[in-house]
Amino acid sequence: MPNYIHGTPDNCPDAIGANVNGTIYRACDTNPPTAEDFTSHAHSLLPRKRRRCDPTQCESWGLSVWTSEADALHAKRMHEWLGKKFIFKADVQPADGRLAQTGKDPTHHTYWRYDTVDLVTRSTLVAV
Amino acid sequence: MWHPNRPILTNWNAGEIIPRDILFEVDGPTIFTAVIGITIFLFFKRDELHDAEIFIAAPVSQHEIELLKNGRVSVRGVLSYREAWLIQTDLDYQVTKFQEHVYETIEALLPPKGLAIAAKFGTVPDSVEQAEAYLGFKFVSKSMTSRSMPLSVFKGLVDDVSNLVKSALLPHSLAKGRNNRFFDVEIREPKFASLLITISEPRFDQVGLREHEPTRHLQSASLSKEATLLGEELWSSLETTARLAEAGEIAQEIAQAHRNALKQIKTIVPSEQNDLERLELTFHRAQATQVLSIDRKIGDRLLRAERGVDGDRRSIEGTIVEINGEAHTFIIKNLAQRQTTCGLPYEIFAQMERDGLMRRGQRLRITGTFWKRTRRDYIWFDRLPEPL
Repeated sequence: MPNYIHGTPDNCPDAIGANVNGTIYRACDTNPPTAEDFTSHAHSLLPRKRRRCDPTQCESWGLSVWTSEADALHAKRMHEWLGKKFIFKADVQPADGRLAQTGKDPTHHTYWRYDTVDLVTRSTLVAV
Repeated sequence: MWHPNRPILTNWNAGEIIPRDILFEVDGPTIFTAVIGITIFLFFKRDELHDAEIFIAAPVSQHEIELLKNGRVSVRGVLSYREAWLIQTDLDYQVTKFQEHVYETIEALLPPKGLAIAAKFGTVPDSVEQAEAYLGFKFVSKSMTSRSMPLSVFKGLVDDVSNLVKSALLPHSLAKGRNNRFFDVEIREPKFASLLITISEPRFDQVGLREHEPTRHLQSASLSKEATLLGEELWSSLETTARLAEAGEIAQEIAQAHRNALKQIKTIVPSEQNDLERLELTFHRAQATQVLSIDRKIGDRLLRAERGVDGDRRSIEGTIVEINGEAHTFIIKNLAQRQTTCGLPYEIFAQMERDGLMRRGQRLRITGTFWKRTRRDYIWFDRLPEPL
């Protein structure tokens, strides 16, 4: 039975997420990305992430991602500050983690990876 | 980011900002509503700093929020044509400083034009008025501000729009005599900054129609249907010709096929001959509003296509006697001493310069669309002339 990253509440992603075959898109601060780019708010030590973290919310233990390139690039066009970031994509399989659409924004998804999965090295840059 | 001539305040006493309806999020809310006092505000995250975030916030109605959610209007549109605030908060949404703005001073910071809340909606209008109107005309020019514009410009454009609407949407059965007096449209409150004129679907004076013998048999419902079809035809033609003009000059046969639309629009498109920079047209169709943007380059190509519709295709010969580098035109004189002004695309003008053809005394054979005029004829051509 695969495990989520240490600290993730029991059954939280299992209850709302699904194992999927697909591609996830993530906004990263650096190119190439670092481990911090794929660290959730709850797991991060960065003040910016910690202050916005609600550990009682399952989403805080996962990563904000998009599931289409169009949605990711749309977000980047919409927000000038996202222009400083880099969009990376990674193909994921059921054995890698769980994905759920979360929040009222229908393009927003949360991805909870299993603790043995390395999204950093798997990710490739999306050309803009 | 912060306007240098507007006060930056720190005495925020409107309470905590609590995101209520989160419409967009990227590692946290980036577009959301919050209630301040008794007013709903839309917050748009404009920038993020190490330990702070900066938002544009503007009062909105629930109706506008629904239009935004349903992809009927852009994010920019819901923040436009109203006062707004630039607000900086810490990571707990406590306001640390803020600045009040009017539309003109915040416009440059708004999100890009045409972007809906999600990519799936495509390009959408940048104002609630355009989103809800049957047909919309948005003129952009340096002479227009949110406070004022020259009366002559305002009147001219209103008259041109009025004439276009009447000629394009008037059912044929009302075209005779004064029967067009039973046709009218309602316009919504015009918006300044750029002049925005939006109209509702045409309506017909049913009482007047019944009291007038020649129109007694006409029904509002069928007239409305006909006007709607005419509107669809107009939009379809404008879409086709504008998209072609975006790519290059419009072929004469295509211009002929769309001659009505080209004639109807010629007085309102931006061009080198007026000070309009852009015209944005919107048309409500099938539960969504379509948007067409025409800049000067496209406008000039549409006008040339329209001129070509009435012109006469021929070849003429003459010697260059005058060159106007600024307007990219030149004048030739034929053996009978008759002068013709020659209009051409800039690319051809530049090519002639490179080839050494653009010089006084050069004899040429030019093939294009020719118009006879009283003093000096005119020819428009779009391929290299033959040197003689």
